[in-house]
Amino acid sequence: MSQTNRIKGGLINQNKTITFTFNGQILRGYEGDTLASALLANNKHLVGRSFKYHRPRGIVTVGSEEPNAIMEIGNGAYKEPNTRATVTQIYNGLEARSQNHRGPLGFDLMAITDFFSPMLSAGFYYKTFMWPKAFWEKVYEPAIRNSAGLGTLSTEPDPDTYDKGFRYCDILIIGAGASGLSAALTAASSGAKVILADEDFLMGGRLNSEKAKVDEIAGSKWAKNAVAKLGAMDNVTLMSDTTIFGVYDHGIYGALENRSSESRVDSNKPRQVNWRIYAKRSILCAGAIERSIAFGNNDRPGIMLAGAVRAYMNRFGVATGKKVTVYTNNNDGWQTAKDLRIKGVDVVAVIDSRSISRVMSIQGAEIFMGTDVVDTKGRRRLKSIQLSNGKTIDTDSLAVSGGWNPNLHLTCHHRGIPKWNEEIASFIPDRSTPPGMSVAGRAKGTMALSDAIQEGHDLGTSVAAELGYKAKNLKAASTPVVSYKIEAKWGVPSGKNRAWVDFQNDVTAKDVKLANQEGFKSVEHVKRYTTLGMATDQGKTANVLGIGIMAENMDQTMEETGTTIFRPPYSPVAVGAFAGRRRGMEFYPTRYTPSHKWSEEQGAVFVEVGMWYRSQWFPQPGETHWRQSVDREVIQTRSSVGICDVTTLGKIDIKGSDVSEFLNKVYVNAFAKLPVGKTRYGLMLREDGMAMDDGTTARLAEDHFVMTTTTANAVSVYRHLQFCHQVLWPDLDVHMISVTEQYAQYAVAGPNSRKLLEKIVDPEHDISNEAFPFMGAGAITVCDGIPARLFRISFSGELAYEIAVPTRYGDSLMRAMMEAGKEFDVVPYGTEALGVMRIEKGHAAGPELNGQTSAYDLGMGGMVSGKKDFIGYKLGLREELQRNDRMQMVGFKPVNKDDLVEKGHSMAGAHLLNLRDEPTTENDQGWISSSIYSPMLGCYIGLGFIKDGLNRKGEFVRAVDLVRNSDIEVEICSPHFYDPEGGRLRD
Amino acid sequence: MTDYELLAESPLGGIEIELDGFNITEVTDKSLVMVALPRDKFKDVESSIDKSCGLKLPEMENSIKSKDSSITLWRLQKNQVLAFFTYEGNDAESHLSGRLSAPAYYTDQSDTWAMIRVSGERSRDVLERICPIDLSPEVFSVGNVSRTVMEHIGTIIYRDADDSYVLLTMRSFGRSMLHAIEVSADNVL
Repeated sequence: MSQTNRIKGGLINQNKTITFTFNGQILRGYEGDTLASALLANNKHLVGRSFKYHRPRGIVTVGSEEPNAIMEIGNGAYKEPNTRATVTQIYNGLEARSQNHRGPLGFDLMAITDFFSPMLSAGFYYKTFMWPKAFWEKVYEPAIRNSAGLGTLSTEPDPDTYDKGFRYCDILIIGAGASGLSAALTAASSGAKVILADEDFLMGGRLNSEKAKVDEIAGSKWAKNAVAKLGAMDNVTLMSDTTIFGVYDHGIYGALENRSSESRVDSNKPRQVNWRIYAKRSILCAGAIERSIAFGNNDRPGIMLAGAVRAYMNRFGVATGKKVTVYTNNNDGWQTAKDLRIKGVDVVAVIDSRSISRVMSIQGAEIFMGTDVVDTKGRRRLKSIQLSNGKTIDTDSLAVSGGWNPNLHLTCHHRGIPKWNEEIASFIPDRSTPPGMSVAGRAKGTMALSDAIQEGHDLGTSVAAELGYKAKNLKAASTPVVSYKIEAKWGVPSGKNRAWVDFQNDVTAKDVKLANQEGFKSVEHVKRYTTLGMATDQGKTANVLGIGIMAENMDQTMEETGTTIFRPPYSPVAVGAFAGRRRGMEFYPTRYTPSHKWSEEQGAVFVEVGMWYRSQWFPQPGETHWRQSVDREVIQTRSSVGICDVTTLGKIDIKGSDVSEFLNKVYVNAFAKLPVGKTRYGLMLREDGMAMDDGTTARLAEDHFVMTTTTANAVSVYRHLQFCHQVLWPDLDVHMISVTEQYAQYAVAGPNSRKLLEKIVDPEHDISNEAFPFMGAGAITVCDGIPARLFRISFSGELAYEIAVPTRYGDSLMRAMMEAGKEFDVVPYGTEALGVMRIEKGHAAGPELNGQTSAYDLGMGGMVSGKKDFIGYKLGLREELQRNDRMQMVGFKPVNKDDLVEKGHSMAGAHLLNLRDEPTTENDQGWISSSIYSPMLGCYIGLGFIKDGLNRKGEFVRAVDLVRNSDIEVEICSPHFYDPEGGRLRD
Repeated sequence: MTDYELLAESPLGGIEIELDGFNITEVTDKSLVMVALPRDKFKDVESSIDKSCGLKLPEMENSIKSKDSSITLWRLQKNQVLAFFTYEGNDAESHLSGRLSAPAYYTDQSDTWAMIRVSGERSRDVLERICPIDLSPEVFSVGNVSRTVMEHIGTIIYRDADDSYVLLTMRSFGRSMLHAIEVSADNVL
């Protein structure tokens, strides 16, 4: 029979049936049910097995604090483990499976561990698996890991999508219960921008679960009206099903919005949205979480918290049993008995641990004051309880209330430490809440509903006033005054029976006691030793109870015992929600060069350089190996002409009357007298004298320079220049801006480069060797009046130019030059050929500018001006940097030209050793920083660093690569392998 | 005279996407020039632009329009303004310096940026998924301009009408930014 425990009423839609499965069995619930309420309606109390002992466990709570009812939801790649049934809204087709058992849920093979429980006390692993030592890693740990863990992952990529977003408000109200709604109503009336967030999909908090009337109507109805009123206001954003999971610096709150219902309808929609909320103020109205009492066998399915029993009945129309008992140490527990009777459910008994007179009459129920529950029976479902007076009561549902703990977690995210409040026997927030946060209602320890409403109402007004808003003079909602009285009750002497404190981690009162006996006095140590308060629920129902037991064990106050630290996230957040949309190709953005489209058409192979996609080489038909393409591109460029997109190099326009002085201060070499129309190579150092970046700077006018940087340092050099200008020399008239993206820039290299460009450059611009010699620069026009810049600079060592046009013409210029170059067999070349040619030419690049090399180390000591001060000058004079035996950059070529050719790898990364030395760290002489196969030399060559290298040319050493298992003899030589005199680039 | 003609291409090919309550359009009729203000000529610049175009230097993160509304100045740094103006030719620097007649340094930035206008009544709902700054109408008013980072991409955002924002990202990032906006629209609308 379906939904045998369903009763009339509640806030669910009993006209709309929803079908779902639990462990393959088809079940039905109603719209508005959670998975937990629907399972209970179907009389499913046994819903999982415990973590350590595989004890049968049932639903305990009605909210995100649930320790037991955690399930695997969905199947295949969509499966998500550890989903709390108590907060999962059911939908048609939902598939739920219980966790932590081998074989069926009702007959778990691993339940045998429960019989060995006397051997498995706190610290069991640490004490038992000590011998033999070698077994830990190979035997014990794999075995433990195999049997431990909560749920299983699909091991497939998560097919759901996630998003993130940013929201701003004046006041963030966390929790839409009675005090949260009251605060929102007054705060919103002031005109302040309000966000009201609640983790439940139905706003209203406990008002939805209680019978209390507010403003003389049902509390749930009042909440619904308030939500509707707030929803109609432009200055209010309602975020239901949204958990504020963390409080971060500067008023930033992490909020996880669950949009599962939307993503099920359209799988392209994000399942969850991770919001970053910026709030000037916040009001925490997160309510309170009920705790249990540790008595013998208090973990059986059917034993629940009293407030949850009430909520399932009042909100979800579910009776948790036919014969219910209540065990409490406070007045609120009695309310459960009262509500059950109103609904016509049999209440067998009310047991109150306090020796006071009965709180109220409960029709048909036996009342036991000053009495405790000491034991229970019923393996898969509660059958009876035994009282401290010896009496046994048959019951199928026990509602336990050990009191309510203010839900103060978020007040502690900036290291606030809760303080003990004897009156409510729980911890309350102290004054060190995160800046801008106020607390109202039960979260603050204000347990009476009427007071909580008033507190929220007043805070809404006063917090708005702090921000300069004036709330309307509204009247706080009224509700009958019901007092909350409690006498703390932690553990009940239970003999040999285990009294459970932390259901999720199977921690008993005895475990806590043992930890204390073994010298673990700090609450943090006890947590780690026993696992109390760990895992998905983070001990929301267990912590205070555990601390109470600790305090009793050690005969100290609760305050002295203290709490563990609450850290974000408040409740579990899927890793996918943190990643958001940044997966796969969207991990970071991509940058495309002006010639990208053309290069794609040519079948170029691309390489990621930072975020840029650059053409690495351009394979031609018949080429089966990248080396064939690269060798061809090099040979063709050196014999005729090649074109390479160098737009990615940083370009900075610098204008002003003091630019030459400015450049003199940032470069090691002089720039003050650079003539207009000329380019100069420059090297800049860091303050500590190490090379920072290099490039060329051209003077286009008296007060206008354009600097180039390496691709990698385009941003850092610009930032460095800004720092120099703004902080070091603010009086200089210097203005700079990046023009990296303003110009598409191409290197045109090779003996026919001039001939090619003459077909592109407008004839009024003479680019002959005489009119436009090596290192010339200037503004020109191309293709009938298009403005351009031309630089006669060469990275390849050939006669070469770099030509720049406004980027809008970048694609078109590439196509035009390729067309114009047909008669010269022009070839496009990629970054590999670029690298080959620069190493053949001996230019230092990224691997050489590694932050450890000075100008002298790079063989550029001669460039360093002794006539001026510049950044890095003073520290560059340090004795250490002047030593001759420093690692200095030189070239390396193999003694046997065929070395490595067959192996097909370069020398890059090899270490340099004297001929007869063992490859050990102490014998290390240096390393090869860049190496390629040189088609011009017909062998592998390399640039590298070796001690006193500049004085060792002609010596032989070994390049040893232990990773790729090569060991070859190489000659130390000049880094300028190709055209060392530089005749080709000046032709 | 050469044998080759160069054709101009906008960063996003002039894309226009119309959705329910949300539109994406590439801005292709505007130029952008950085106008650097020499330290000792601030006052000269101020009087010149006032005289030539009825312009004043805007406050930080704000903008101001010329009398004929053809030039908008954005202020994102103390010592410079960005001029956003209607011009599609190849010589934006000369064009602007001719209009402003002010003793400043002009640097063309028109090709540096991909300019995307997002508009429509749902524009803020879409933008809040990628834009970390507060776009509440009363906080980020019409005419406000700011520099921020969206999806790891440095972005200038300018509100040019009630429900209309112009986003500028470095040209090479244009496709990524367009994709980010499209994903947001898919997720929200």
